[in-house]
Amino acid sequence: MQDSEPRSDGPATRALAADFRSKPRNLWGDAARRFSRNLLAMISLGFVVLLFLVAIFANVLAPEGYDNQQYDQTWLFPSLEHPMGTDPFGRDVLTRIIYGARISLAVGFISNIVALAIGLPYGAAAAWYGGAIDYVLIRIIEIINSVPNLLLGILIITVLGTGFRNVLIVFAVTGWMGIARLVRGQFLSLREQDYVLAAICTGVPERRIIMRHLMPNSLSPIIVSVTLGIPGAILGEAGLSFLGIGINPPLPSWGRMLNDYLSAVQSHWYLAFFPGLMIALTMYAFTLMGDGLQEALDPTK
Amino acid sequence: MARYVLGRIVGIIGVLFFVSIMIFIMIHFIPGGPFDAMPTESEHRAIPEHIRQKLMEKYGLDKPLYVQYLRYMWAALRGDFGISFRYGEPISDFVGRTWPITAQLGLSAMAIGIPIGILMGVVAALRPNTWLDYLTNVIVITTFVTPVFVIAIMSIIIFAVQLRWLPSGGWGEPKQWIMPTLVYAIGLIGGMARFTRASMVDALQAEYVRTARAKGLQERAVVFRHAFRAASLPLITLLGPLVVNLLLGSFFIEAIFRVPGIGSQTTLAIYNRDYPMIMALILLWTFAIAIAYLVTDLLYGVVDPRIRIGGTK
Amino acid sequence: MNRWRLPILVLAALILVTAAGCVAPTAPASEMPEEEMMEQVSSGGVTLPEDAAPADKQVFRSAGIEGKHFDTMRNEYEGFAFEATIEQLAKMGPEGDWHPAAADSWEQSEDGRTWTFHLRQDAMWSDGTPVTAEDWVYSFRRYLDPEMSNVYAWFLFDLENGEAYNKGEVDVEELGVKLIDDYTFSLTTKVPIPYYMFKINWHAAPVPRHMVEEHGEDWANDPATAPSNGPYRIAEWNRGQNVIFTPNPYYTGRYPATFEQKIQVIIPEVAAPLLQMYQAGDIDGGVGVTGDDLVQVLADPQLSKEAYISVMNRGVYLYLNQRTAPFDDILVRQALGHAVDRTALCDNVMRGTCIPAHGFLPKDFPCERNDDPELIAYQNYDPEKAADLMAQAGYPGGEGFPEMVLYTKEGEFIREAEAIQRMLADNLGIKLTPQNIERADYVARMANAELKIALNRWGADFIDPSNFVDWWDDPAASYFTGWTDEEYRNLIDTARPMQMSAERCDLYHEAIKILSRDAIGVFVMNPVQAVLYKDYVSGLTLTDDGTLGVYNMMLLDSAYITE
Repeated sequence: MQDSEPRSDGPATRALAADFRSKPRNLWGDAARRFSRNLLAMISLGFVVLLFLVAIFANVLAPEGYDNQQYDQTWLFPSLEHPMGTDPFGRDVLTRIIYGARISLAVGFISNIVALAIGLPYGAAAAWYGGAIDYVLIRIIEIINSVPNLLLGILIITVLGTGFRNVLIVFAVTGWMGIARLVRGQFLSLREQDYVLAAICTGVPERRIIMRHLMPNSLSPIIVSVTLGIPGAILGEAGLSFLGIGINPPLPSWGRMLNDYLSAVQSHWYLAFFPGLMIALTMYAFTLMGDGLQEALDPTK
Repeated sequence: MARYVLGRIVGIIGVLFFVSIMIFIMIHFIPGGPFDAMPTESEHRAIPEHIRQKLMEKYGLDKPLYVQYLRYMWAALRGDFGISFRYGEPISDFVGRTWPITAQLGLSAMAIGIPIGILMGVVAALRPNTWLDYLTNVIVITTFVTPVFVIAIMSIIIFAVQLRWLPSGGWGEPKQWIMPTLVYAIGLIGGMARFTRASMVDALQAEYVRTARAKGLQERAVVFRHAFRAASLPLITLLGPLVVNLLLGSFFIEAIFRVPGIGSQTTLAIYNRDYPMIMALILLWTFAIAIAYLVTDLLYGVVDPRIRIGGTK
Repeated sequence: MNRWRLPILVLAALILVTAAGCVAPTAPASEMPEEEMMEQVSSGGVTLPEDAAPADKQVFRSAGIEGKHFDTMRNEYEGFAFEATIEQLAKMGPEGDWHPAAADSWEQSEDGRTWTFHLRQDAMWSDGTPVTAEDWVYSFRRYLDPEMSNVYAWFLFDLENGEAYNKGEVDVEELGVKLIDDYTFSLTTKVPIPYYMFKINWHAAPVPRHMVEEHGEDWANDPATAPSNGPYRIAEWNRGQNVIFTPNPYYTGRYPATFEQKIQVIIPEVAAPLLQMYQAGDIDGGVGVTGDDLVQVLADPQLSKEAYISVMNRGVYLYLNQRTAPFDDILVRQALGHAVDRTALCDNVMRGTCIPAHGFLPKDFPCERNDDPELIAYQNYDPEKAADLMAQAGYPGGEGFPEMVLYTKEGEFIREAEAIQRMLADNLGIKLTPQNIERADYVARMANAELKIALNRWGADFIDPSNFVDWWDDPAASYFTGWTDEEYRNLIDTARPMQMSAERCDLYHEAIKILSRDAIGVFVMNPVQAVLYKDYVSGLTLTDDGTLGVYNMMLLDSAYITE
């Protein structure tokens, strides 16, 4: 993916171009074109979109309710009627997987949105104001960061109790620092760019500089980071479930399903296999998509 | 330079101070104290109040929180981290006994995982979009997308239960080291290879590499003297915290493979409400992480002379 | 915290121990020609059967969590309790029968309150010091010594002045523990307790007084200063890894060591895959498995041959906080009692890893009459009746009934809770969300009466029905529900001091019926467990029908490894 344009067409000139010219070729258009040429990334994107559709329309797609306990058909191996078998409660595993997509994606998505909502302004403020404010904000991150995430998670759950909402809180609390750091780093480097300095000198309002110049140009690493943060939270939820401190039953999440039945893997392999497979595929898709985005959004390529 | 390091060390002390307060408050906020529940299974009758009182007194838990904290810190500053509620062993002895095991596990995993990971990453970067690249990618992502406890439990079922090649866990003879080390290393290989590949691809496309090639330099020299050197800079950023993580161990690996190290202990200490243990282990972790960041920053200067440590910001 | 965590303590009880009830004494070597000296004698002095493996193979490995020290009479937080090293006063056989061990004999006084024990006179600690009655008296007194802050002290509060002494109100001389001579001592209880043998032999162990006096509390941290009076001594404690026992060279008692070495492999409190350890051959037995592991054991042809299956001495029930609404209403409680489909739960959901219960005594426990139709009728599965009762209570179809959290503790019974939650929703229209909390949290909140409803369990401390009924109306009990009842109190007070008999059981059965009738608890099931022993572990002491028995303290006494 060699760029035929001259090297001088770096982020600065592009942004300027975006600002002052009409837009025959802007960053996003280029990125979309590059992304669409990456087969793996496109397949992954397709999978992720499909997953979101499944999650949204779970109640339409699922053969039955997610807590439809039928005691006369428990522990059934996969068959035509139940393609992924039934669980110890006689619930259709496929149904649980479909609803599990909703819970697992919600955990991944919402927790990252919350992390973004905290991390973005936080990092921006640190970078923009600099000095003492920056120092204090960064020290706070350092302090929270120095407690291992798993432990912070356990501590939070122990104080708040298990359940969907509290799991979200865990990932939001442990996830925003990374984003804040990233944003701060981006802003700091962009701030020193000539076109931003020029904007500052010519008296462009602060707000406008941030919104028009800094934000758009830091967006790509943030998008990539969130894309990789979502599967991170899904995997993290599985980790919490392993410790018995995840989502409350009877709600299905892939992490909980995987852990609940890992102990039965030698006698009923399918119970842990399908949720495990879904976690892996989702991780795969988001990771490949993240990689694709990273490449596509990197203007030096 | 010396001034810079000194400044950083002061910063580390500050962070340790705040972390200690934060954790101290947090652990006392957790519902249920160390003497509320009967040990193990037998909690049929609550601990008689007069005995509970006596125990609280014995461990100073009856005092106001700030007194407890000041006492703790005063002792800790003199190197006395208290006695574990759970093991009855002085924390310093406990750490001295368990940490070397975790460190050994971490170091052997690193010795295997990091070179293999870097090698795989370099190879994949040199042959982008070939089957070698895809294969590496698949291996890497597969280890990356599978939770470590699943890999751990499945490998016990396969290699210990089915094939009977290795013991299911424990720590004493070299045979028992193999499985935890490898499972640990596999995770490392994934991360390292992924990261190395990305850095190398970037580096190989840089101007100076093109220049070096144009000069007619041998490919090997181009790759290793120029590209790899440049690519190792971001690797160092990654390695700092990674090394600390490895040296402090993993809950999943240690608990599942019964490794008597320090990695599983912080989690267990929270369950056991083992206050002195939680404090000591988290402070240890904080300290190690901070030092790792410091060393990483110093290493930058060595690898990349353009970065002057302690220079103007 | 999760399913790998297995009932280790019960195992500890099963695993431990001493020697040779049914093994022949060593034959004098001189009587046989050299060539025929094929038979093997263990270091403990036991002649092993012909199929025994050579001495270097006579090693038995089991697993357990790490203790804090070896001082079982100072269970301040968590002590190692190895019955391999402790010779108790008497041993319970597989049928609940008592056999002399440290005591040659014992008798109960006329008034039933005083137990006098005559100790074996040649008993020695593994460092060669004699074990005397003074050691025993010292140990019992120390157990209740206020200075020891023993959290289990309440266990012996039924000794005369036990509680008063523990609170520092009376002098040690007032305590019901008396030295009679070098080899005789007595225990006096407040009231006659016919089952006292069960109780003290479960908990009490002598401590080596000479070591405590010399080394203080540190004696119990180091095998070198922690001699045993049992057939094995502690040879090594490799912290975090294992504890190794070897035969006690000074042991002269009735149960000499058959193994050359016993090893307790140390496992973490959470996450250790115990069944897989056993399957991989890293331990030889004493592994108790329940739940999904049991499902797998039953399905596996080899494992199922090595499994000793029994109903555990545990009752699992819905704890209902009756201090406030809605569970202060008997109709609501009874509705719950009729709304749980125990058969579907145990047979289908749990795949036979539990048995349905309608009363509180576990199957096969003394005085258990779970087949009584009257008892079953109090809490049988009857959704229509349940819905009726609910409507009578003012919550037709669950309308107006508050949403609640159904608590479980430390990952135990999560699956059961998930099923029960559904049954109550379907049959009564009430919404419960199962939530798992940690032990410390659970117990603290239970003590503060904060929990409304929880799936709770009770496990036997000793084999007597009083252990299952005594605490329901006792405000000091951990699981007190707020309920008291005079008729109930009379029944159990009358039954407690009686010698075991059909009349005593009648009284206990009446009490059990009250619990079920008024739905003080909703009794759900008794878990089943399989204790695994590899097929090369031979000579286990079993009951007449080939099971392990209730609390068989003789289990491994004559066990050995075969080729």
